[in-house]
Amino acid sequence: MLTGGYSRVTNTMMTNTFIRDIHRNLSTIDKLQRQISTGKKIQYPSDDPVGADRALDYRQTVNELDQYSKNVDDANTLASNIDTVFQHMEDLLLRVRDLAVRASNEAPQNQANRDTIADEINSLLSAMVSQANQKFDGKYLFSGLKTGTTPFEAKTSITFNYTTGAGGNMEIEMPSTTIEGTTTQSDAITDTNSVKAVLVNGQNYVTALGGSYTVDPTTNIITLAGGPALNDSDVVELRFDKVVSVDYNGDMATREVEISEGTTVKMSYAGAVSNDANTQSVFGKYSGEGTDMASVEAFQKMMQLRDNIYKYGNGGTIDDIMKGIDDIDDVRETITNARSEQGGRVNRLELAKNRIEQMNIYTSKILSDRENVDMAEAISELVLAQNIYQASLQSGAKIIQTTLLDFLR
Amino acid sequence: MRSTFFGIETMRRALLSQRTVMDTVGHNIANASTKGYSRQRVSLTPTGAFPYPGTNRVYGAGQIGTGVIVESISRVRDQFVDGQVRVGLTSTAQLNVEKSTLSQIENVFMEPATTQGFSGAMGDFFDAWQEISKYPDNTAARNQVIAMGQNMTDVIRNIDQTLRDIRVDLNGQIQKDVAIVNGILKDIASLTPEIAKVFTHGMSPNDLLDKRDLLIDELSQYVNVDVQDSEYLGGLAISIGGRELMRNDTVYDLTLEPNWDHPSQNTKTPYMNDVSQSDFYMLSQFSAGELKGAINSRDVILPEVQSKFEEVVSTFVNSVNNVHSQGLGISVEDYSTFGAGTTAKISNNANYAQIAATDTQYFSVGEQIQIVDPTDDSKTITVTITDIQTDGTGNGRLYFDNIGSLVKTEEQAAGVYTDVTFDIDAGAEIRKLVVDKYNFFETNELLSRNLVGDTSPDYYNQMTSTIKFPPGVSLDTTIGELENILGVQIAPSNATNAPRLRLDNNALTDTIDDNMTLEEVFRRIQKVHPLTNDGNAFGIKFDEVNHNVVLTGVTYNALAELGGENGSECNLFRILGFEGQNLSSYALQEGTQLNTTLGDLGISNGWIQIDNTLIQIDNSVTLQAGINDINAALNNTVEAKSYNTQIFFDEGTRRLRIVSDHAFSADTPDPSIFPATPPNAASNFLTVTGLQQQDSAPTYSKKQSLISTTTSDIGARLSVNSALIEDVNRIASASSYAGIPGDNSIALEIASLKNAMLMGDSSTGRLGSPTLTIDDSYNDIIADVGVKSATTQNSADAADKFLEYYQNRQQEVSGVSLDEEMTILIEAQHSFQAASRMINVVDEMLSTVINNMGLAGR
Repeated sequence: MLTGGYSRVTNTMMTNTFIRDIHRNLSTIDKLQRQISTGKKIQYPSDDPVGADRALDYRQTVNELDQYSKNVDDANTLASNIDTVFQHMEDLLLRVRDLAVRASNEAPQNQANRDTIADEINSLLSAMVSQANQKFDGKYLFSGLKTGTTPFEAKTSITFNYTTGAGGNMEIEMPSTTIEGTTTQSDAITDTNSVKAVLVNGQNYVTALGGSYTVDPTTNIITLAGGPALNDSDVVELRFDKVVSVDYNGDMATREVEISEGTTVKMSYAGAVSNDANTQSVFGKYSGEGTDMASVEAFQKMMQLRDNIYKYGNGGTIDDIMKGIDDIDDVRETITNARSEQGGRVNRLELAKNRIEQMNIYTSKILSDRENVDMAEAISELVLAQNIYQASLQSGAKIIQTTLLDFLR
Repeated sequence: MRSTFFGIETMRRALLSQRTVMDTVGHNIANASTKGYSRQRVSLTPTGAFPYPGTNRVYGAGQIGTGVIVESISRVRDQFVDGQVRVGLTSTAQLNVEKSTLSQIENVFMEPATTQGFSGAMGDFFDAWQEISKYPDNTAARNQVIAMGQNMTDVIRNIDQTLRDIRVDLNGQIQKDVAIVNGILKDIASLTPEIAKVFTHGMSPNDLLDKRDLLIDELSQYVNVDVQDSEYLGGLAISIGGRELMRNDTVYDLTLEPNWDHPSQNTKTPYMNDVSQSDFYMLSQFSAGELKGAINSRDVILPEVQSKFEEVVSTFVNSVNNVHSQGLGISVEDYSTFGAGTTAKISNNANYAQIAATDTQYFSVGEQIQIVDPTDDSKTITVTITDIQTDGTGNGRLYFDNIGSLVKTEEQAAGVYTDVTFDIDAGAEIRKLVVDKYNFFETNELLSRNLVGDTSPDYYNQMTSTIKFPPGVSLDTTIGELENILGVQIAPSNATNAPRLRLDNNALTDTIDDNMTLEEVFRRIQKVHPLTNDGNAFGIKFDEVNHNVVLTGVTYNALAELGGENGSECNLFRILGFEGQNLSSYALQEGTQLNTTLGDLGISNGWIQIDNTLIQIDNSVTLQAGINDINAALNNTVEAKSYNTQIFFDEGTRRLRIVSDHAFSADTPDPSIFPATPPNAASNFLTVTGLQQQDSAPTYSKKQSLISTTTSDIGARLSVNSALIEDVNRIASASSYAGIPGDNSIALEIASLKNAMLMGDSSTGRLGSPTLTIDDSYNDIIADVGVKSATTQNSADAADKFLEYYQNRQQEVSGVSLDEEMTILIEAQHSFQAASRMINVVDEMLSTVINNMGLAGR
């Protein structure tokens, strides 16, 4: 039915085409509208599957980086708290050193003065213990993983199992401790008044067992009299008038926190490490509760110094005090080292924070490039589409209305 | 000599013809915008000239035309264009359905536009674990973990539910579409006799043909039909892929049947009747159309997404649970007090706690116990058990490290001390410190849900079955040898139809051939990773000593769906009783076919008894009928013991095979009950050689699956462990009791799962280890859906353009152009007027002759 080089066009064809094109134009406008009002190029994965995949990936990365950033902040806060505590401790120790030096001057001092100095050192010791028991955010700083337990406990009594010594079974020798191969006998008996009570198997030797005792500060021996003899493995408790041991109740493990994938940083501090460990701890080694008379090393040294000052009049020597001062210097050095280690850690955290922030900015930028729409481009496309739509409506309206009928008489 | 009225007659014909033309134009104009209407044209032809050559003809100068007549009124239609339009309709419809499904799936996940989809929720979840790792004993952090865990399960449930709803929707669409197709076929069929009648009378039923073409166009949207003229005039044969839907006025409806490899209730697929055998359904060969699109969406596109999502979710849940269940929470709880008679005797020399000997079973070395003063709860000591013994007097002793004196000194004020003693000897309490380990996520039994169209979830059969090898068969027997022994075809000789082993939904890419040994076949089956519950692998254990095969597994339908391509059975496993079913096979005599009568087979009239069912045998019926009768009788009621027993005849090998769900026995009929003489054993239908009994009846237990083939129920059942919600301190953060509460190693490990390579097993390559994180795998799903969706959208656009082009061509050929019609109308009108004028002229001439001649001289 087609003749010549033209094709037959019917009215239905024209209206169909018109309608189809209107729909196409409108759907373009709809899509652009959507993009502009949400600001995102990719509404559905099908808009840009590869882009959607990348966008998801970047978004997950950004989320992760935010979390790491938070972790770094928390670690940082903890570190600066610890640093403050160290600062206080350094001040305390300096004061102790000064006192000790004064006490070591033979000539101008007498024993009464020394006793006063030693008393002050005793209270500084208590202050040090309470510094070490500091909390941050409800958790103890130096108790390792047992963040709910008070790490350091200053005791005023010693309990141990009796073993018959050279003097027989009516003599109690002060126990000794071995730290780093050096065995020292405790000097807790500084004068005859320092022992407040002696208990054997839970019973007071004087009041319950009807005996009495005498103390010899020079030899650190307590001699019993009048009561039952002691047997091996009897449990003896001596009570003093000052702090004689500082126990550590925390544990020696540390907790780590992630600051980037696979990288962790220490977030808890062990107050003391075990005797055979080869890691350092601020307060030194500790051989454990209940073993003779063991204290945490740093405090042990402080107590030793104090006791040496007390005992100067009872056969102690200047050398003992000087050695004590050296020990205190050691403790100070340990703390200073710990502080610098902390400083290093803080540096590392800050660098990590910077890195994380940079990564964050970078990734957010890429994410935005992928995902976000370029407003200027989208709006100008929208205007173009609208123009096309209007033009098609106008021209279509004119054409589909005209037929031959308009012109026949 | 021509007749007087010759001229008028010619003009009369002209008038009538032009009137017809005008009427036809009017019809065209009236139907200008009717859908499916093709314009009609009158075909005019001159009537026979006068005179016709013959001996008695009138002599004259030549022949004179005698006018015009309407030869035919025909519609203008191009068959080729019609065909192309139908092709276009079919593919557009299919692509539109698929496009819409993919778009819905995209909407379900809502990535990347949303920050609260699965990806965002997972990020938040692991962030919460990071917070716990910093502060393991912080209640706020723990609550956050619970909240984020619940958020995850909400998101997962939502996605899962919506995907299932899409499936329900598609199911409904398929049902509706099949009904529509059947309706259209019926309409077409009812038109055909009408059309045929008109054709028989020599006319062209244009409008009816238009109507029928329109119906066929509509039909093409749903299915890809081939339309051809049939042997009858005006009749059509409509077929799909060579199978007929309709011929003349006979319709072969589409039916919906459960698909053989989708045992779940509501997966129904359209089947077509095979004309040659009634009631034999064959899978229809849809290659395009809306039905194909819906089936494709429901059975291919959607399950792929569902199963990948399943994998991601189960890896996530299992990984978290695995780590979490090894960790400890921070609350030491569940103090179990042991009964009266428990005392702790602690003396200075012996450190032990004394308990009743029967209670020692509750303790083990290395555990920690707490010894409590019976009068004051706050006086407790915690010790670790180093040894457990019983003494001669029936007491048990728990030894622990010497802790020295149990006297504690407490400083009340400076210099003031009080003793706190334990009066242990008077009977302390011993408490066991129990720190429970929990899973983080738990999966519950399905709560009852009312889902329209998709009722109960799929149940698995957990099956253990022991099957005896047929005698003479061992693991080294090849398939070929087995075929000879049993007389059945397992691996057909035709290589192109070689059956694949198909276990439940997973097809191995292996084929069985005659040279494979049984052992090899079993190994291949074991490699299959069926969708299992509780991680129970499917197991085949061979026992050559006892000549047994033991199968354990969780399957969809008792491993019954083992088969080859296109639903053909894999005889191997039917024979070995793989379904845990009894079976047997009997050889029948040479030349036996389905239409051989039972009498010819040597069976006499009488009865047989199978379990409780008595079946009367009439030996004049054919084998086919006999089998049908027996099957009907055996499957009469569910309560009958022989229910689900099927007997069928394998023509290729002349073997009668019997398959049953259970161990049954066929007894020789009790002669006192049966009227006829019991047939002798040799000719008794079923008791020829007795039935091979199972060694042990298969045990079935129905377990509900965590996932199912067709619907994924995992979302509905996933939740955060309620024990953890009860007490958030139970959330595991520490890895050992000693580390409580500061140890965060478990929390760190869970947090690091986010970046752990857990998925994407590339065991087929050189690397045998996972290469993707959970996030990566999930992103892959999204990208995959995105690519598919984008591709389908593009294809749909292209198909639409194709359709548009041919619809325009159709309009070009068959459409009504008002301008054209008006012009033709004017033409006809002028002709009509001219013819009327001619009649006037002739009329005047005749008037002159009649009225004015022969009046000379008046």
